[in-house]
Amino acid sequence: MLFRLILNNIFAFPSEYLFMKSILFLAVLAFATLESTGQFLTPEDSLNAGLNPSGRNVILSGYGEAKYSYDQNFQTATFNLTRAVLFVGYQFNSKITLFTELELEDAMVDGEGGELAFEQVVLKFDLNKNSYLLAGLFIPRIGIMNENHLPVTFNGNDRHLVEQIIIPSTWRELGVGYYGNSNKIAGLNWSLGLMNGLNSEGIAGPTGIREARFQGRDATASNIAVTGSLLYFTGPFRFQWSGYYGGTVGLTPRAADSLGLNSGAFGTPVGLTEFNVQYRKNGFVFKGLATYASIPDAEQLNTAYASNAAQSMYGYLAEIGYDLFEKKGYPDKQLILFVRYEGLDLMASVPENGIKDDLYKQNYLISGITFLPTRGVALKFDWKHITTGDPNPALIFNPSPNAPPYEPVNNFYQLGFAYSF
Amino acid sequence: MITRRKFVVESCSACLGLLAVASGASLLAGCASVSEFQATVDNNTITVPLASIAEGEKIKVVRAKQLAYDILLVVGENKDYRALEMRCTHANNILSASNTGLFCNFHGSAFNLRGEVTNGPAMSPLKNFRTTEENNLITIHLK
Repeated sequence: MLFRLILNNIFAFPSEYLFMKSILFLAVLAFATLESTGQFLTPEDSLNAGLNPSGRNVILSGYGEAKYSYDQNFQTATFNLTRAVLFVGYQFNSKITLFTELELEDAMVDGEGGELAFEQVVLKFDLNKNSYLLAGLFIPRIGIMNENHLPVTFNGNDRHLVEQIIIPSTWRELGVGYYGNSNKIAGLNWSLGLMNGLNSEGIAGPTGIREARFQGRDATASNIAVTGSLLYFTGPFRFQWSGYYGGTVGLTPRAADSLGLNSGAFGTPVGLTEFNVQYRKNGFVFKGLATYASIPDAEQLNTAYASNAAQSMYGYLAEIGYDLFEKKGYPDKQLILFVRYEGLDLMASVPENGIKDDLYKQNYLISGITFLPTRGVALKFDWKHITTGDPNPALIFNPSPNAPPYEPVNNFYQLGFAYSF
Repeated sequence: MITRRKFVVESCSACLGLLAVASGASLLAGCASVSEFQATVDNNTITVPLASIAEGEKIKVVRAKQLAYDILLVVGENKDYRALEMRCTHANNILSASNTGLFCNFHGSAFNLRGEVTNGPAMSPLKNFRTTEENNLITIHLK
């Protein structure tokens, strides 16, 4: 009865709130499922499917973050509900589980922005207690943030810039992944993935490969990509290497030929590799990451699409933080001071028909404080200092006579909150 | 006179070198295997013979067909035993174990060998099964 009343009210919303209706409907559906057949997983379910033949469990979780940001150069501020994510999982039996992650960015979707998208819709098949397969829209293990992007787990209001601009997190594609860990070498984990490739038309100098992701929608699959990673935990260290290699042209051979591009599984490829290390001990945290991406056929892409694609790009970051509450005896609270430096160049090298633009050679110094009053909630303050190269005037086609001069240095002061449950 | 560029390059190289040496030493120290013990569930208990735990062995994975997740048997400094379910309390993923803790690859949660959360997003500690020791057998009580 209660659900019927709620549903009636949801559907009474005007049509312009279609996406909000969708979110509310999904949330109500999830709760209704819980009430009717499922249950929350609790630690007491730990015998779970092994000793519980029905094995039916619903997992409900989520996260979100909001940010206030003051732009010193423009002397203006913005306040945005950056994202809210609803995570619903369902354990069919002891071997098969469904995970879905639905994300709404910027609070709503209309002609001016916002995005409602699935970050994951993936079936997990446990092969044994050391390995499993993922099938569906999944997030490959590339970088730190792609898998571990919950906002209570990183410092600062922004996800690592290198992992947004060079590694286009959250990077998800359709395919299968094989994940495992070894008992022979304690702490060693690996992953292999096979998924659809990128879209060559979306590769461009100012955005790198970010706009080339299909993210699960009408992906071309005659061009494919492979990924792999090795992850090793030892003592306070966590080391990870990962790589990606995939074709970007899913056109017919005839169409590809007419554009001067190579089609096929790995035609007109993109390669990306990264290495990262994390260290946590006695309240100290260190993170370091370096990544390099290569687009060897950038010249052909520029001929086909006039996209000024770069041939190579790179990025790196290093962060150090200390939890002031480490020795205070507050097991569920943290007060972390941190500083992070990031550097990247989206146009590290360009082909002969490309035009290098130093605007995309950027450095970020971010420092601030993260307060977790309890696990799952974070209050954040940071100062973000940005320096870029000068824009190449050859790429400014219609300069406005009233445009203020470009300022290659800027500062942002940001406050935010985040949650995860 | 040293140039700024040379100074930055040499300083960074030195830092990376130190990090590599420290990491290498840590890798060598931590490069151990985790042995498994195949068990069966009997009347909601699992028994592990003390003889199956080698001298100096700190952790052992206990595996039973009837259980969806392994159990990590942790040997304490005073030969006390702790049995932790190797299931992340955040999204139920399989955990990976090393001599210093348990780690989840899904979202980055980490736990120490007492089962306490050392890194989120997990908020709850690991399920810690009661253990008893009698007649050279460790009994893990699942309920």
